[in-house]
Amino acid sequence: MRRGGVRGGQSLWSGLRLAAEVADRGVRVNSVAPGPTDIPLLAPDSPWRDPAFLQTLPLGRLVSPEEVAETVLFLAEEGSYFCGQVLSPNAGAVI
Amino acid sequence: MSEALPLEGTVALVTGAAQGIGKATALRLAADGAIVAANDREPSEALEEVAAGCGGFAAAADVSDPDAVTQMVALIGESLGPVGVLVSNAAYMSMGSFTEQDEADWWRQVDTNLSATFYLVREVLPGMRRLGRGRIVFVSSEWGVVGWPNATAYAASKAGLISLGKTLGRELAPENIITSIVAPGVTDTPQLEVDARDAGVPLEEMKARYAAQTPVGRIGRPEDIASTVAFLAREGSSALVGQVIQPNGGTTRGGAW
Repeated sequence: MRRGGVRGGQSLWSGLRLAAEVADRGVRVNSVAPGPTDIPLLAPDSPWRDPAFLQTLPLGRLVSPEEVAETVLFLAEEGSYFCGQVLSPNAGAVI
Repeated sequence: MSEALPLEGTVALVTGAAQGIGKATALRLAADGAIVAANDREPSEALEEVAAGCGGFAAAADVSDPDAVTQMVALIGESLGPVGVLVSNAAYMSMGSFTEQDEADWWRQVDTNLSATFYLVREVLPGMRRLGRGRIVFVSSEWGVVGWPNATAYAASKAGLISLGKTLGRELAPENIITSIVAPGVTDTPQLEVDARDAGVPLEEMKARYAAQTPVGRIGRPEDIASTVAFLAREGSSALVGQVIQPNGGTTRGGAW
């Protein structure tokens, strides 16, 4: 999981470098970078919950934690041809 | 009590389904519960086999012909119901140096790989709107993301698919019609024969060369791509709207989109 600005960025890049190093040993390293997600960490009065913000998203709503989980599960179960990729379930916030 | 299959009750249309990624995708969507209309340019035993294997029917049509697309989608609608999942996968590739790319062949690739997708979406959209939901997956290519020598029209047309997918992702999402794009890396399909001919080497050597250039040490299997399409076609993947998903064994790590 990658959240947050600089710290998230650092872990993302180190993950991707790792991906190439271990790829030939059958280990897959990929990243899931969720967009704004409906979790308790997001305060009730968070600007990400503001209808004015949500309206700007193609899906018009936050990502659900289940959707993030589905992405992780897909990579874990069927993602052996994925290496060093960043999958971002983000409701269309970043296209 | 058994769980319903992810695509139970859904009609899916997969183009270019007689072989390769299209075939694997048609079979996988059927295994996930969809009723699959399997399209390829011409009727063939191979297409009939796929159609039989996925309990659907063979819908032969040249998707670069807008009238043929209209007729095909109408026939599917009458026979199976409105298309709820569209996988635009049919492609034509030729390879050669840029100066060898002639106009007729340029247009053939652009029309098959990109224009056809425009026609397909146009025809399935009313049905998806009636259903109140839809899933659209474009099979682009790694070369659409990064370009490739000797693939002038193919790379450009595949890149066009990426942008079309992003546009539709943005535009149709509010209607619960979710568009996403898969950009596969090199995959073990009959299309590799084009690469091999261009490089002047036997097919098996071409595959070995590509595998050696891939961090995971192998080229893709059609099932790798089919499972990705199937994942994107599921209900729980809506949040990946407009994303370019890249199963390529690590050839584009973290930077390309």
